[in-house]
Amino acid sequence: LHILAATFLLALAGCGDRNDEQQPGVTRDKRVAVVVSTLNNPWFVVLAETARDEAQKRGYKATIFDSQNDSAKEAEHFENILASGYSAILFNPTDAKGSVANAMRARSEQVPVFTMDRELDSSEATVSQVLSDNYSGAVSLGQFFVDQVGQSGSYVELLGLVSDNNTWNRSRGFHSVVDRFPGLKMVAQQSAEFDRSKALEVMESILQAQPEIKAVFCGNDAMALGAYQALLSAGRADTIKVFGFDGSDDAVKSVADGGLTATAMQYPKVMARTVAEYADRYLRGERKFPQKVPVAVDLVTRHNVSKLSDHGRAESN
Amino acid sequence: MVAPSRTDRVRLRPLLWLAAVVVALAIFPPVRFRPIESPNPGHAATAESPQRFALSFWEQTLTRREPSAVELADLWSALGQDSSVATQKYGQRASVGARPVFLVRGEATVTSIDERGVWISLDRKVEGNTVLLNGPIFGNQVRDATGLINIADFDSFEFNAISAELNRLVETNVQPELRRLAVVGAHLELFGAAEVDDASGERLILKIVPIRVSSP
Repeated sequence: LHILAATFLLALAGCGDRNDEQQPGVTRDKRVAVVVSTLNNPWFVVLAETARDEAQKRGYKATIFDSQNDSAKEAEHFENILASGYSAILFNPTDAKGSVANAMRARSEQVPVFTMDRELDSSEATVSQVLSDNYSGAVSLGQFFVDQVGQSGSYVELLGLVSDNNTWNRSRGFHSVVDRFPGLKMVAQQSAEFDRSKALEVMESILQAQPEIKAVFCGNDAMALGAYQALLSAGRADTIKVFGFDGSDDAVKSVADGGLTATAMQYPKVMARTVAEYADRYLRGERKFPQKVPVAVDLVTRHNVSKLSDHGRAESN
Repeated sequence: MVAPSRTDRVRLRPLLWLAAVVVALAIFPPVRFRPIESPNPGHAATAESPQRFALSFWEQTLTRREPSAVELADLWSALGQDSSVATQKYGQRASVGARPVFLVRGEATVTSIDERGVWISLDRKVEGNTVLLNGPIFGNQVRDATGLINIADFDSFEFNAISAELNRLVETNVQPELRRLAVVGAHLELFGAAEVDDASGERLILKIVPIRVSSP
């Protein structure tokens, strides 16, 4: 079955569009590919565009490839990128395990790969991985959750993609705090795949089955905003607190306006600029890079929201 | 018992095929439904479990050798002059932009006890407040304070599991002794992992996760 599935995926990959045409006059050592898991979420648009802009600022021709959260699409992009002679890949993978093969293939062709935001389960496939410290961010969020919701009551958790390590590091960080309070009961835990529309649907069905919940913890802001929309439609937004993760502009504004209770600010621009800088240094001959670079995540509440803007600390953008 | 006639066997044949298909599907289902499970840590970098690594680090490094730590009063003094210099000199940052953590030691007197912890006063006057945490321990202060545990040696699940285990060791091995010794006016000798809390916007608070507490 696995062989059939792999054959099918390879066939699909082979049938896809080629969306990176050779740019005449561009030399091999001047092209950098930015492969991003999805452009259907504004946070990842910021990540990808910042990586592209930073690479361009450093003199490279940079192109963004959208994997649309589809590992087959991602494999197709790698095939095209390697065939087209790109010099480096700034990579936001779709799957911690499933994307390793793509990065290893690039490595075998001496094309360095630098991951940003999402971890690959391989220490060999990449030159460096620049990742949010999701666990610590979720610990802070969990502590604030207990502070706001109290030490008893029912709550719901919406998970992201179950194949993504960020999903579980956030969930584990949150539960490392909340599970210490036996009065807090998780009555539903479902994946909405980091997607706003799916979160809306999932939350609507949970609300029908769970009349008594006090809070919702979501593994990203898109899901938090989808869940909040469901609560607004049901007339329960005033009584159920919603917590997100990412620090997207919409979510930060919602926190400021009294919608979401809190989120956790990741710094996509810091991560994107760092990997673009690393790629530049690598292509100039440097070979010594930290294998993993965690980037801190900050709690965003209505008390500090004014200090944060445009996917970062106000003073750092 | 009467054997089925040929006509009966012909009639039964489709049913037998159907039963065979049902049995085959039960044994080899085309789709399997599994509950949402988080992946287990320990699938990548290290040969030993995060829990065993944490216990070994606790026993062999943290509590036996007590790595080099800054005197509490010196840290407060350095923070008062220039916090970035103090961080550079004494602190560790596990991630870009993270709050620094410090390995500290010192002697102090218990001044009060509340739900946040055991508040202490140093012999030297300092500009902030210092508290020893005696409730649930969260986060990575203990793991990160020495700078000896490198994220590159672990996958992220393992790295975080090490924190959880070190925190559990503090809660089970150290905090009971802290609670026993914590009487207002008591003199304590301590070794721990500290983080500056400036969230209140007023005076700084140095929050210390105790690794060893004793009566001098």
